[in-house]
Amino acid sequence: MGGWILLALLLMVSSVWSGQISSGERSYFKPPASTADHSKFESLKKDFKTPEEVTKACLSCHNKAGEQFGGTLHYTWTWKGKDGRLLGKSWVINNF
Amino acid sequence: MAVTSNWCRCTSCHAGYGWKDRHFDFAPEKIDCLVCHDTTGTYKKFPTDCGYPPLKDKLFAGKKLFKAVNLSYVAQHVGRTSRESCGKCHFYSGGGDGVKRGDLDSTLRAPSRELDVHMDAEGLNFTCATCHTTVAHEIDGRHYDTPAPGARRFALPKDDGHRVRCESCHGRRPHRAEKKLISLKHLKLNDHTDRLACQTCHIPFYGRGLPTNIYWDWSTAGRFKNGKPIVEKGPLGRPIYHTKKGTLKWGKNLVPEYHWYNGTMRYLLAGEPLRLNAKGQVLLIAPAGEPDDPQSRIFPFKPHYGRQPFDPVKRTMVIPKLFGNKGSGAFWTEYDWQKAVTAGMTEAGLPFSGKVAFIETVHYIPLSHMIPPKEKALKCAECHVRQGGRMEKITGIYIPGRDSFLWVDRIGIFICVLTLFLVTVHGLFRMVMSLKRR
Repeated sequence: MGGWILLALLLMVSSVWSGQISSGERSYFKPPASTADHSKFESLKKDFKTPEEVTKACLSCHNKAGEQFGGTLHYTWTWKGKDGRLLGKSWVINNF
Repeated sequence: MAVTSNWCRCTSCHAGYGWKDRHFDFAPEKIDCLVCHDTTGTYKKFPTDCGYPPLKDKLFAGKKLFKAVNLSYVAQHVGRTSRESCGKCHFYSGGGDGVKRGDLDSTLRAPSRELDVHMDAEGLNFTCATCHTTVAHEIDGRHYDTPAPGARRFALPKDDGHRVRCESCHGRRPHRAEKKLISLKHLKLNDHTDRLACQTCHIPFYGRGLPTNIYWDWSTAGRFKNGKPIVEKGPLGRPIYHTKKGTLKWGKNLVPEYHWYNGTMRYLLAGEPLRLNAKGQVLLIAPAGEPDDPQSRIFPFKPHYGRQPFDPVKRTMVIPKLFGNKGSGAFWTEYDWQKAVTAGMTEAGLPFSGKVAFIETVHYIPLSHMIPPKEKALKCAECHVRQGGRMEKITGIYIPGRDSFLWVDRIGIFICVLTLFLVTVHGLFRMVMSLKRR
């Protein structure tokens, strides 16, 4: 009986301890669980010379990502305003 | 200022490679996947290389070392975005940590609960994308003249999962008593949500992480001491004079300015006729919204004041070329505004009279980040006071405690005095009668 109580206590303590190290600054960098380990892909096991080569490798699997991202504000820095003016980071001005 | 004519400096934060002039080819292989999807924290773009990362160890401005990026290592460790990856650009907007926004800086990498109740690294640990919901690389947020998606209701599947608004999770009547079934206080708080944005009470101060820039006078830039550039630091550890930038003012824990806001901003572009406020400052980027508009709310802003070049003949804002090689006219190499504006306006293809003068400008930045725990929200008396309240300058709405109607007040005082008088008379009468009875 005493053994069981000790085991339960140990389990409780260890779960609290693991909870502590799984939160906070130490692990915030850790990406969430994924369905793919990118270090195992042959297309990425290369000595890339230019960043464009990396992008081509990404797009060889993620074959809709180029088209998707290509149209977004993060890429075009251009927003067609409702009044016909061109807005977006590459057209507007500020005082910084 | 502007991206045009300053490409390689500004596009160091573009999610692409090689945007060096207005003829950039937006081909798919020029997309920078790694800047957002790096999980190693080792991928950094060089500050003046048009969006390219350093492939050899390189010094920036002769001082700061940027280590060569190991492309293969980064490519093999891609994953979802994080506060770190978004922050690589968004924490540093305006040219440095916390300079532009006032509600975004590197302290959000691993913030405390006190700084940001949602991103609290020890608690809820939200990433940027927890709220900036993303469907097929399209990231939710305010897009110039289009408000952030998701109506003021819960994020349901039929809304495509958009949950970038506070109300997407908290609902339109967010205040609830923890123990009591009905609480008058919470009912009254919920009664504010048709006119106030959540941010108004829940962002009582901005610049709570690092100091943020509040004033930037470009007209004083270009001074030298014994032929050498000057960088003079102020009490907050930030430059108050910088030869390249001019005179700067910084602030921490600042009270926002409040305006009616429908979720969109109005932009003044270079070459357009000036739009001035009552103080004669040019409104470069200002909130749109009206008290009569049911979609508008009172919203907190960081105002950023500046003094910058304009064309006093054509009366338009101009684009100066700041960054560039010797001979290009760039201000940061030749320190001549005339040449810099001529070069910038030529690259922008806009007319310029040839004259340069300086004018005061203002740029409003809406505040939505760094929400402290609810105990820190504004209390009633911060706004509901006769004078000096936070809503002092808000027009188009009756605010109890701040506003009054003269005749309602007079009638009220008259009724009070009359009641006191009648009660006294009645009381005296009863005393007299009781004495008589004895």
